[in-house]
Order: sequence, then C-alpha cells, then structure tokens
Amino acid sequence: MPVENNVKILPKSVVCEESTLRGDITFSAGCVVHPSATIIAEAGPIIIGENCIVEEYATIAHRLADGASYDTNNILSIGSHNVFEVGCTVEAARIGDKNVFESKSFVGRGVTVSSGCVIGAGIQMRTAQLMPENTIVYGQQALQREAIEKQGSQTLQIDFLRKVLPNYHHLRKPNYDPKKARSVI
Amino acid sequence: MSFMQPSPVKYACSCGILNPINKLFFCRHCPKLRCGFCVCHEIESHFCSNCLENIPSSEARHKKNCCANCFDCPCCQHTLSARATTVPVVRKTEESKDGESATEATPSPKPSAMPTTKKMYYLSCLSCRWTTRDVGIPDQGVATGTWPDKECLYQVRFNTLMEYYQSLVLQEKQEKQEFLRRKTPKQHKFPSLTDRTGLTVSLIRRQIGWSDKNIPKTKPINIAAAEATAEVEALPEDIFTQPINLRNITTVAQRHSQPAEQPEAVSKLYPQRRSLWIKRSLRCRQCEHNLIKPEYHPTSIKYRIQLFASYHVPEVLMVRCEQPLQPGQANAIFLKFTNPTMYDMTISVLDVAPQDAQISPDTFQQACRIKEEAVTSSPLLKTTGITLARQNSIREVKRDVRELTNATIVPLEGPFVLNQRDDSKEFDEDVQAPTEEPKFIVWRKANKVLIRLEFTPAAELQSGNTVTLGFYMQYTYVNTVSNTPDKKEPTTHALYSRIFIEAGDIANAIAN
Amino acid sequence: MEIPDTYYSKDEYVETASGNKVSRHTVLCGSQNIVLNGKVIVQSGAIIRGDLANVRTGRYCVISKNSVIRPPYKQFSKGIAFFPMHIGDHVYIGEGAVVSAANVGSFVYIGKNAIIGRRCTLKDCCVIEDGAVLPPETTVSSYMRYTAKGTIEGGQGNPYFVPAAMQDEMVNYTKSFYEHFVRTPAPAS
Repeated sequence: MPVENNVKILPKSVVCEESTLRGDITFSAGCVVHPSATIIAEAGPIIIGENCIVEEYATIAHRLADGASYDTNNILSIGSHNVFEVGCTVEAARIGDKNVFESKSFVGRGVTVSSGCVIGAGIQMRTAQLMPENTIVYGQQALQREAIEKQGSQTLQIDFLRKVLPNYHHLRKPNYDPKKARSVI
Repeated sequence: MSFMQPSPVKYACSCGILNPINKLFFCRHCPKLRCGFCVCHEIESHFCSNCLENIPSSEARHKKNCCANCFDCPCCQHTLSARATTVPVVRKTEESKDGESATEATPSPKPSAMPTTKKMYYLSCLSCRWTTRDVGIPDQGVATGTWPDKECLYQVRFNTLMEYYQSLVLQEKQEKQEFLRRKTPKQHKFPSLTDRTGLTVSLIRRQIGWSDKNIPKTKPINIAAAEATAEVEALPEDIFTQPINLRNITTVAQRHSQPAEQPEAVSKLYPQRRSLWIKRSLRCRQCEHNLIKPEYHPTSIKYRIQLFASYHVPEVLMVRCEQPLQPGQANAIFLKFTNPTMYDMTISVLDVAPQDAQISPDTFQQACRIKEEAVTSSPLLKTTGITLARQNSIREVKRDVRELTNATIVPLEGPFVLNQRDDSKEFDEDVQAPTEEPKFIVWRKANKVLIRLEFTPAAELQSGNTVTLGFYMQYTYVNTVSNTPDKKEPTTHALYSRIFIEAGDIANAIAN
Repeated sequence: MEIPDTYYSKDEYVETASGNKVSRHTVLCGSQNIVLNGKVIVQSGAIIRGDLANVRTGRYCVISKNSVIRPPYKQFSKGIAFFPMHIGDHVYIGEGAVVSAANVGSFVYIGKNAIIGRRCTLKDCCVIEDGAVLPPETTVSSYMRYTAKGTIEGGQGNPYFVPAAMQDEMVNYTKSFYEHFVRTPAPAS
C-alpha cells in the first residue's frame, strides 16, 4: 500500500523543493533541508525536531521491517539540533538531540543514538546497539570515545542558511501553524 | 580506466625490476633506465607538511625532526588545530570552562556585557573531538602556542648517555689522530731541530691569533651502568574486581605514538609534535649524477633536475586487443607509441635482444669513470654522513629480467620512424599527406603512432590466466648532453628496453 | 592504458562556448557564483553549491558522477561564514566524492568516494586515494598521497606513492579524458 505523502512543515523551517520527501513527515520549527536530500517514512511517521539540518544526498529512512506494514503509531522521532551531513544514510531506531552524522556515514536499523554523539565521516554502524551520550565514533577502525564537552549547536549555521537559501531555491511553504491549528479546533 | 589503476605496460629497468614508465627515470649520462630501487635517495630539504614551512637541516636535527608549531592528536594521530575562545579577564576561573567559544558556538547569552575579554586558545582535533582541555592542559594566550613539552621521565638518563657517547667518540677520534701523527713521517723537508718540544709552533699560532692546538684530552664521563631487575610490581588489587571501562584505556597505536611514557589511561594522552617530512633527490648510483632534484621550497612542485623516463624513452600505451584472448589463437594488439623528445626516433620491435645495439659507447663509460673519480674524491662524499647514508655501490648488481611472457609475438617487418614532439602542432590542423607507410601502422599523428602487433598466446593457457607478451623495443636516442668537453654535437645511440604488456585475461572458451 | 571513449547523449549535456560540458542532471545551485574556466566536465548527479559561496574551477577539470562540491564554512563567535572555494587546473574529482576543501591546487587527483572535510587544503600534485576520509582542516602538501587508511605518504622525489611527473600525468590524463568524452555518434539515417 503506497503511503500518502503528508509533509507538515512548521514555520521558520526551510525545506528545498528539490528534496525527496515520502510519507508522513513533520518538520519542527527551524529545520533546514538542502536540495537532493531524501527522507522516507515507510514504516511510520517521522517527526524531526527543531533546528535540524539535512544536507545534500543525506537519507533519513524509516524502513519497513520484513513483513510489517505501515503503522501510524510507529513513529521515528528525531530530536533537535541534529546535523545530517552530505551523503549520510540514517535508519536509526531513535535519535536524540545534538548529534552529528558526518559525510557518508551509515547508521543502520537497531542503532539507538542518544544525544551529543558524532558518527565520523564514512563510518558504517550496522549492529544493533545503544550509543551512550557524547559518544564519538572516529577513524578508520570506528573507534569510540566519550567527549568531555557536548557538541556545539548549529544555530548560527541555521541562521545563515535560513537567510541565504530562499534567495536561490524554490522552497516548500510552511503549511502547518500550531497556533492556527489550535484555534481551528 | 582510472588514473590510479596500475598500467598494463611495464618496462624492465636496467636493474631488472619491472616498472611502469611513470616510476622510471632515465640517466642521460649512462644512458640507462633507473628505478627507485637502483638509485641513491638523499634528503633534499626538511619541511612540515602541515604548516608548509621549510626547516633547515641543522634546525631539524635540533628539534628532533619535529615541527615547532604543529601538533598531532594523541588520540587519533590527526593534526590538531587551534581554537579560539574569548574569556573574560576578570572572572577567569568559572568562565574559562564554558565561555562562549568561537567555534563551538554556544550562543552567547551576553555578548557585550563583559568588555574586557581576552582570546585564549586550545588545541582541538576535528576528527575525534579530543581537546587539550580533556587532559587539563591550560589554554594558551597565543595561537601557535607555547605549549609545554612534556618532559620525558628518562630524559636525564638519556642526556647523560648522550654526553657519554659523544665524549667517547671524541676520545676515539683524538686517539686516532694522535696515532696517525706518530705514524706518518714528518712532512717537513728538513728535520726541525729547534722545535722538539712543539713550543715554537704554539708560539707562532698564538702570535697569529689562532687558538692553541693542544686541546685538553677528553676523558669519558663515568656513568652508572644500567641494571636489569627481575622484580616487577604486583598488580593492584582492584584490577580483578573493577570492571574495565575500555573507553578510558589507550589503544596500542596511542601508546606507540607516545613511546616515552606509553600511557595506559586516556587522561595521560598529551599532544605530540608533528614529525617533519623530506623532499628527496635521487642520484644515479653508477655515475653519481642527479636524476631528480626538487626545488627547496615546500610548496614548489618544480624540479631543478628532472630526468623522468617519460621525457626520453618512447612511451608505449596499450589500446586494445583485436579479439578476445584465446589460447593458441593468433591475435593482434594495438599499441600507441609516443615520442617525447625533440628528435625523430627510429623504432623497431624485436623478439630477441639486438646484438650490436646495446650500449657500447666507450666514450660514455670513460666519461663516467672520470666523473666517478672526481666525485668520490670530492668532499661531497664525506658530508653525506649528515644526509642519508649513501649506499655507494658503484658496481651494479645485474639481475636477469624474469621471463614472464606466455605469448609469442610476430616482430614487425621493419623499423618505423616516430616524429619529434612539436607542441605547436597541437594547435594547427594540418592534414598530413598520406605517405607510404608500412602496413602495420594503423594511424599516425604528430609524434604518435598506432601500430598493430600480431601475437599468439601460448596454447596451454587456461581461462582466466593473464596473457603477458614481451618484446624488445629498440629506439634511437639523441643525447644532447655531452660528457666530454670536446664533443659539442649531440650523439645518437641505439638503445633498447624490454617491455612487457599484460594484454588481459584469457576469455572463457566459447564452445566447450 | 588508453582511456576508452565515454559517450554522452546530445540531449543530456550542455556544451558552452568555452568548452565546458555540463550534464543537465546536475544541481548547480547559485549558478551565477560558479565559474568553470573552460573544458570542464560536470557529470550527472554532481552538486555544486554556488549558493553558499563562490566556486571557481580551473581548466580541464573533471567533476564525476554524484560528487558534491560544497564550499566550507567556519564558525565565528558572531556567526558563520562560507568561504569561496578554488579548484586549480587539471583536477580530477572521482565519483561520489564530497569536497569541502578551502583550496584544491592544480594537478590533484581525488579518488572516488573520498571525503574532503571542511577547510582542507590540497596542494598542487597530491593524490587522495579512493575512499579516503580527510578530517576538517587537513593539509595535504605537494606530492603527498592521502591513503584510504588515513595516513599521509610520499613527498617530492619519492617515486613510490605519487609519480614524480605528476604534473604531466594529470595534464595528459585530464586532457585525454576530455578528448575521449564525446557525443554519441548520430545514427546514420
């Protein structure tokens, strides 16, 4: 059964039209989606928290398990201030806040990413595991270490992109205003 | 076809090793092919590959071949970069921890509330996010940093050992000199009767203003010899009871990057000074001429001497085989020859070594010999102790080229001419008048010729085996360098190189 | 080995007066900020982010399929800035590479699926192996080879890692790549 596209974009989000969005996706305020990004909500809705950045060729997928079908209650919730860099593929079960998925990294199903984690460029994480807070995965051998300080947030970059991207790209209009929605009810 | 893929065409170097042409050099003085294996490697200059600063060799030695400004991450061995933070000067204690950082970009809550701020720097690794703050190194006021060097635990011992051996060397040298002085007969024509004590000499020396010759004899310092002990401290009790947190334990690579301490805990990791890099110059072992001499400057990509084989030897490119390769079936390969020199070349493709062609220029050998002697007696050789120890083997170890071919070629009927390279021809569209060409020449343009060479893979090859064909390429080479001063005219030599081509794999048999 | 001809369809590629061949299936954002200095090939799926900052390439560059050219940014206390990116002449960027360097010199070979982090500096005549990952702010100096293992090898005069005549080799390679990148011959009718 093909899932109907239902993309909710909250105000102050910048979502480029050239991105591929499939299924029920909600962007919270302040998200930036670059062109050629892909978000697929196959198994259930995806809710992306505030101030996330999804760059070119990044793929966020909520994939169907074998034999399962679309389930509205099976929500993939992604926290706020996450950065999905160029060409990463993220199919994680749950994602907290302030994580960075560097270029061409791969996070498979069954990985639970807490907060403040960095998945280094080109690293593949396929086994099911829980990544504790502030885990840094780095290097060729995908070594892990714990950062002492939390990763800084990307608000400044988002401010810049929010200013610049509308000058060059066709955007998907914010179509969902929580205030209005409430008043209608 | 990628640039990185190994080339199927290999040339046999004069030392017998097969190499693609881009790894070969051509010594114009010998004249022979040379590869990285049969030349002397010398250090041309030291530089830091991160800050690209040239460092004189004396300074490099003083700094233990490390850069003064750049550091490597002790955690992942990547370069550390300096990060700036603004720290309020007054309340230093609290704010320095989580003051608004320039790069981490914590949104500044009160940007102009504190007018007196100071820029402080810390080092941070952008690969594994390690920072100098992780191990409690205080931030520095300057970006390049007066980062403290961790004093090695055994530094004192090392220093005494060093002093000891230096004095030992000095003493041996003095003894040798003394011995030689006594052994050698007096150089004076007349035995000096007045100067039996050596006083006159020292008097004259003092009058001229030279220092006194008699340096006091050095005696080696007494040092305590190292003692081996068999006693090892017992393991702490909690090692058996406490669960191990692998994240706090260093990896083997991390320990090896800090050989002096080899810390076990992550908290003991310390930024390491970055090692320097070198530019090399290569020298022909037979005639001691430079084959490659790079420019000193680290960012320069130029050479002062560049005798690449691709500048002197005709380049052979494999284009394709005519048919899928089958054992025992006649096939043909298309090869593109390119002449890189400014002179026309006559090329023949042979299946046996040319008899008379091989370098018999006595003038060459002689000239080389003269040069050799000149060089070996020069002080140059003595100074090479500073640079790489030169493997000074004039005598070349001849090794036979391994017989690799498993195909027989049909040699070309005759030689053909490869026109000189002319860069200006690239731009004009001249139509060459069709001339009478031997029939193996498929196509010709400027300094390039495409030929068709017939060959037959050996009959016993299995499918999947690689077919290698080999031949001798004889070519005329015009040498513009004159070894002997009386010869001004460029000399022409007939040289040859063995060439091996991996034509491809035997295709699966068609009807089996 | 001789580079075989690569054919493209007339409908897919746009050829400019200066000889650039640009696929229509690319994402060239902010095209007014992108300067391709002639005889540059941009293959399908490539993304050049001229909207973030200026991007300038030299002559005879090859930007392969699905690669991303993205000017680097730097964070300051008061905001961030994207820096313009310069790519020299005769540079090959392999398939699927992500290039966020501040500066790419001339005669540089970037292998496929390589990742060049933010504000890296690639000097002239260096080689980045296939699948290599350069962390941000890495400098690769001339005649160095950044391996997929993450080490830097070579140096000028070392014949084992980067060919000594890298400049000539890259000139030849990019030129013959351009010459062998030809339009599919029209079917005889």
